[in-house]
Amino acid sequence: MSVEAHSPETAASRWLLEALAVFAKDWRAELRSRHALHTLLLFAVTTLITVSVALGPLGVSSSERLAVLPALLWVILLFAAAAGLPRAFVHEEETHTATALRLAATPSALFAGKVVYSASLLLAVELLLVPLYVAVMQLPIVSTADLLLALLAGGLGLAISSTLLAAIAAQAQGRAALFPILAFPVLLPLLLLAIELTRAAVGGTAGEGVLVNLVLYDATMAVAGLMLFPLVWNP
Amino acid sequence: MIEGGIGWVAAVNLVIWTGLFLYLLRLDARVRNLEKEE
Amino acid sequence: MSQDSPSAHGRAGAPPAPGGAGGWGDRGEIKPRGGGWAAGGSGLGPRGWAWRWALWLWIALAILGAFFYAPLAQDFIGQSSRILFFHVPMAWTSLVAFVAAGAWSVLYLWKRRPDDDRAAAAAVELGLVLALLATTTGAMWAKVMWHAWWNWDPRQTSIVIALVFYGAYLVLRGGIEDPEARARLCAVYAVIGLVVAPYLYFVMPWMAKFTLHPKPVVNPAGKVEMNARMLQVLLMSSLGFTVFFFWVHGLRRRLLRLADRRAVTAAGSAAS
Repeated sequence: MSVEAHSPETAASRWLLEALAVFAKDWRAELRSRHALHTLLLFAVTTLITVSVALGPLGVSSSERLAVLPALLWVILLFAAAAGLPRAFVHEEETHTATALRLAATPSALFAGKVVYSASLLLAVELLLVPLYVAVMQLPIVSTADLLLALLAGGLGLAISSTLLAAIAAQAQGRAALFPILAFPVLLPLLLLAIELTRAAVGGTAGEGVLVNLVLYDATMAVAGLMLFPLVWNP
Repeated sequence: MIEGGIGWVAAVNLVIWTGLFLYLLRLDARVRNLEKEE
Repeated sequence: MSQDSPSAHGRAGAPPAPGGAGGWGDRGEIKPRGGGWAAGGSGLGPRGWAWRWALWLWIALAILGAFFYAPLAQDFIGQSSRILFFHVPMAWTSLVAFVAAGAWSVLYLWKRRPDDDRAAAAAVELGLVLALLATTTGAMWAKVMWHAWWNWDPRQTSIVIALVFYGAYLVLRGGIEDPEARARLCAVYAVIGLVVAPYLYFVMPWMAKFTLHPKPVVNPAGKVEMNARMLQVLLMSSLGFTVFFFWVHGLRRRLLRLADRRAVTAAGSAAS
């Protein structure tokens, strides 16, 4: 947090530097302990194993693959996100670094930094999990571009909404239990859109508007987050 | 259990409005008692 | 769903000035009421008895109209279409309640008046009750028409998510002790609800591609496709439910205000 007000940069570039500083700080702390990454990844792999074993050696019959497998993939990702992402703010409150952070960074820049951190964390997990999922579940990929778009836009949306809701949950009692309760109804439209797009990637059909709506969800939640986060963060 | 008859519609309607009405009476009495105490 | 027990808020950390203007224990706004809802007073004021009896008469007329005046809708099994005159107004009023809660939350974040927060909370509580009743009557009607209580029709999905969302809102309210933080965070959550609502009401029904649910009265085409008598009764019932909602809402709001004042007074006397 070495960015000071009396540097000659404009306000916009100062904001960007602050966001980057938050992002860099979180990743530095993460690489020291790798706690969040391990939590997310182990949660995802455990759920994947559970699902895969429960489905049996033959997996899902090919006629039902399209209906079932994309939904399961996103349920796994949702679980992993709910297990790992709320830490972003709970950790700051627990180690009492939140006050220092309040003084050091502009709230919206802090939010942006945390979102980019959470999104990169989630994308890293997707990068490791999805190939595994595709292999284990025998998922036939028809359109790699659609799959990547779904993972990217879906992961980003998960990160944006989770960051905002984690900031709210971190200030209440029963933080860990509260987060999924708060997040589920907000994330559901995103998940349904992401599942629909993933379905298109593995050979199903999806309307033209699915990707547009997915991006629109990310954009509206990003704008809402930038506007609402300062109210959550500052008393 | 329920079918095309008018009975269940009337019964459901009766239950809902009786419930709402009793709730309103109770709430009104409670608020007035509390405000009298102040 | 009951928020009326005066829980132990008014934490020592940031004591709101008791009796101060706009504070959590504000004494200024409560006026003692003359007479009950059915007696006393001049009768014609906003808290008088006249409009209350008028409302009951109006609702009684709507109920009679639903059973004796309105014709049966086409393609409905037996008398089941009469549930429409209660199901639709309750769903409509719960929507009004949730939008009003969002508006009061925005107002709170803007002006920071505790009373707006209480109004939002009261609206959410009542909206939940009405949404629950709408869901139940809808499921009963679905049992008659579709032979299944539940089939994830887009509208059923939307209302379930609304129930979960505002249930989470109340859980969040219960999880924060400091009244200022509780009001601020809950208001933000309610505004997030307003942001997500278009996805629930427009995008998800669009994704579902087909629905068995009858068209909403105010459909995208802007046309009213309904028998005139049915429409009259439906509008009458909707207005009745809406006025009823605001009446109960006013009472709940006063109850929450009293609970807040008691908590602040109790905290004040404990400190001295």
